[in-house]
Amino acid sequence: MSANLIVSPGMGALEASLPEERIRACEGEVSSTRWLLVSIQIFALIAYGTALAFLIKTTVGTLVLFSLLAPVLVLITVVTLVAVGIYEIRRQHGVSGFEVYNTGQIIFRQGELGDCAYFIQSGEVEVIQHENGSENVIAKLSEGEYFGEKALIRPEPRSATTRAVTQTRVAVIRKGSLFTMVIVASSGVPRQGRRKPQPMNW
Amino acid sequence: MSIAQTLVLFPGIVRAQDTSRFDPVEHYGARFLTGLIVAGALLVIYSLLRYRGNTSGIASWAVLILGAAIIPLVVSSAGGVLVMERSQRVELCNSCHLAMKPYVDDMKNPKSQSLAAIHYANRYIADNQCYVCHTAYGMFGTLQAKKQGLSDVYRYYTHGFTLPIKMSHPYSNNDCLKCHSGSAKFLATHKRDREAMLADEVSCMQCHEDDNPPHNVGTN
Repeated sequence: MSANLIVSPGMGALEASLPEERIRACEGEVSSTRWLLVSIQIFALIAYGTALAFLIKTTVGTLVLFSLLAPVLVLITVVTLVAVGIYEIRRQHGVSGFEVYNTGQIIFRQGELGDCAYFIQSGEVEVIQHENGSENVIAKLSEGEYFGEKALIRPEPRSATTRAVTQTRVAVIRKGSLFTMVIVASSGVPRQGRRKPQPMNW
Repeated sequence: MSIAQTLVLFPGIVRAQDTSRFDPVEHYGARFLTGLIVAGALLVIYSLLRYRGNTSGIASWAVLILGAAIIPLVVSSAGGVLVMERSQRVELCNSCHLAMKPYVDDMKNPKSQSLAAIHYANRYIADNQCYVCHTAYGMFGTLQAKKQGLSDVYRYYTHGFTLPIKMSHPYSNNDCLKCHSGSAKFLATHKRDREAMLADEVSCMQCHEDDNPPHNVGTN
């Protein structure tokens, strides 16, 4: 296993295969979204509280809180919800982002459950199949090619391990984003270096 | 809940029992909003306890959006109607204890001979007595009053006022005449100065203030 990977007790095989920066990024994303949603729910509760206080006893104080503070809180809540919703949709259905793997780093392992495909923007990747304890390199992929696309179609384990041969930059494409994949494939690679994608048997 | 607590917490319920003063906006609006608030708050609390900020599926999103966005939006917009209604109440004016309470106390004092007290005691104005006498007629009068009210609230909370408070502009005859100008008593007793009064050239208070000042604050 690469020295760049984080491994902790209880960590799943998929997580163990992810590079450190990707795990940190994912944890950061989940955490920030989660706390945002908790915050806006507390805002909503405060807004409800001001409304109830106004209904129970109408004074200048409760009126000001309800008519000035509550709309601000509700506005923040709605805007945040819309932003988080758009962000989540993009995260789940669009290009998740770009990742860079160092030489020798595992991108995913044979047997893992996959949830995304990879489009090579630069660098080289080798596809390795493990059979009876031996390691067979069955393909080498480079700029303009993609791999792991079966995970977008069928929930099957990865049929091979992929490893970066050189420093490799990939676009990560999640389920339901074949359209996005086409866009990335047609625009993300310099025309001269583009190769016709080859169908994979793994 | 005791009757006393009911009176304090839900004055609207007690008001509604007086059928001659039944206000459907207040009666049904307050109950509708209370129901929405309770439902929305329960949804948010459920979402917080059940999902803890995670949005793992459609159900969690539905609860979140309903409790934290849709119901609050409805409460805020529907509550605006009640804000407009209740901001006219005497109780609201009276809640500015430092500035307004002496004036309201005088108005409610049956022994006072101030114009406000006489109008209140005889219910010449049925409800919202402060608002009716201090707001010009029509939609722009309401808007002007709301603008002035916001300014007053700001001054109240920032202590930007001095006691005793004074009116920022002379009291307009129109605020009296919007009720009195067509009455038989006014027409019979104000023949000489009627035109001048209608033109706001002669103030009503020039004659009436001596015997019946607008408010007897600090004198009784």
